Amino acid sequence: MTPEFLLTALITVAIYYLLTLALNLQYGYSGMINFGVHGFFGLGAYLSALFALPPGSGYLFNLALPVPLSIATAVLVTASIGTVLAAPALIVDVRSRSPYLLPIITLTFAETLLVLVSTEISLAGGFSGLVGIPRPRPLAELGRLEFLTTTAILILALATVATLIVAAVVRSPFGRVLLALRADEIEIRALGYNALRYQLTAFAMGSGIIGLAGALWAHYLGNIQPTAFSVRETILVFVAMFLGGRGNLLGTVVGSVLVFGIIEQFTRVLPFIPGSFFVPGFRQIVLGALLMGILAIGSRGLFPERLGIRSLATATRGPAND
Amino acid sequence: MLTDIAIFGLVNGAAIALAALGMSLIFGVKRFLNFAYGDFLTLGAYFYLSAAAWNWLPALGAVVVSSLAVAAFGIVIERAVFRRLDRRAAITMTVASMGLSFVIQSGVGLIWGQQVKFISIPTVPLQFGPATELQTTIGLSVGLISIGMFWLLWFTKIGTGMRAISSNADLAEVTGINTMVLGILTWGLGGALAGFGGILLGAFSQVTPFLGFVTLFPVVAAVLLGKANNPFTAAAFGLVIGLASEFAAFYIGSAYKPAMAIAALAILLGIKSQVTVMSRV
Repeated sequence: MTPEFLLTALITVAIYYLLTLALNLQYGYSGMINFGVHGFFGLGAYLSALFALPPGSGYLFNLALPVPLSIATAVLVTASIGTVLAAPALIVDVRSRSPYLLPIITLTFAETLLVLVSTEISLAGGFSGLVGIPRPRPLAELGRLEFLTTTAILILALATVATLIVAAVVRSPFGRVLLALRADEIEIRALGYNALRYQLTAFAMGSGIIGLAGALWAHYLGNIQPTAFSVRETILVFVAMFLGGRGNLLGTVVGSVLVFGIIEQFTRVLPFIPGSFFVPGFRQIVLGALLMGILAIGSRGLFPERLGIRSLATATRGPAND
Repeated sequence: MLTDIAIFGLVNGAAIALAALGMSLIFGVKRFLNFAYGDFLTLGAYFYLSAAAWNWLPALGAVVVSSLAVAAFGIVIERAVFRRLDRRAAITMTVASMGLSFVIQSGVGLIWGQQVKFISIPTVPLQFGPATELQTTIGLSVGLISIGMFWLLWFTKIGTGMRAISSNADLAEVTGINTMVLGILTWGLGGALAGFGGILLGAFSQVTPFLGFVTLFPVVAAVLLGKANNPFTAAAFGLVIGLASEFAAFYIGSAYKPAMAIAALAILLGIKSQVTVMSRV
């Protein structure tokens, strides 16, 4: 349990917590299913990395932007792309909308992006990925431990800010409309609200947060490969969200810590755990079974949504909003 | 050259069509997209890997046993997990099946190891033009199974019941069709088809924990494009998609195959939803 181990674990949990937070915003509160979390994650990572790399590295972009600027740009682009992707799915009237439309569109995007990045070497390094991703200038010369500590503090600060923003949004009148839309869109539209505007904004925000997580991840790691952004990540985030409790911010934190902190780090704590847990793939089985189990027993997670919100969501529209 | 690609595409398409048939069956009766269906195929191939090694069982018997094993697995999982999710949104079941996919892929890797394995199936000593014996066998067996399924769905009471449930579940239940038993049977049948398809696919390419998963996208595309109460429309789409993927892969690059299937699906799904753009309520 060296400080280094703890810090890296903390950073990993914080990054994936951002993903879970975003998914909770998109799905937990607003009821929009995003199967392409890994795509936005990778997009944010690759974009920020590419923007920050110096010219002559042989890839796309290479603008040598200062890191904070590249991160910000990546976030904006990811949010925009999220909007563009969700728009066709949300424009279709809810009465004739296939519930699989948005998930499929987001999944398509994610998989296509991944394939593109993996095969076109001139684009973004292909299968072996990008290396030498620059750190923000103040952190460039730091030793390992100082870098880890500073990064951890920075990322935690950003995560806190993101949480506060999401909490503010969700508790505001804007957030109430989102919840109401999840429950019964037709009724809310009858009241005069423009459902598209609310849902697209929420989706864009979520996508931006996912992009932020990706960008931070890229600059922290220094090198990224396409294999780090697969469907597996999306499934993990779903597990974390359901475990902690969808539609509940505290649940998001707890769920993330549990899934990404404890279960994912299983193998690293290995020497301390007796028994045969040390088999590759055992973690996946546990997580997969956990997901199925949580859904099967109808649990709303460790921290279910507050009663009023949940009954609002399911009462009018029935289990379709479950 | 072109005929080679065409044959490859047809065989590939046949396997996808078979999987689409099975998945569409489950989708029609239970209304849910089984994200783990591709992994049922993988499971079939791995079961066969073990079963074929049993000296007292002829290869054909191993094929049957493996397919039935997957059917049994499907039924058990349905009883344990998915039955409880019946009352909830269909998408919840899909998310749960994502978890199942995880479990199967890792489980298979754990039990049988992650290395690439190879299986061989008994082949018909026929050659159809430039197609190899294996390819002919695959084509023939898929064809035979399709005919069998057609007979089942249109000429037996069980099959008609399944189609009735696919059309209108409530009405079917009201008319006395035993939806519970048929639901179990559907899973069993879907599982068996998947297992068999997996064995064919494994014999055609290689056996890895991801064998079936890569077919998931084209199969999902086929199922969503087809009509719910006629699994053969899904099978037809599966064949077309499989064929088209091979041709497109030849021109664009094979890595894009799954992405393209699902891109086509996204476009077509959007068009297919009666596009009533948001208007005044």
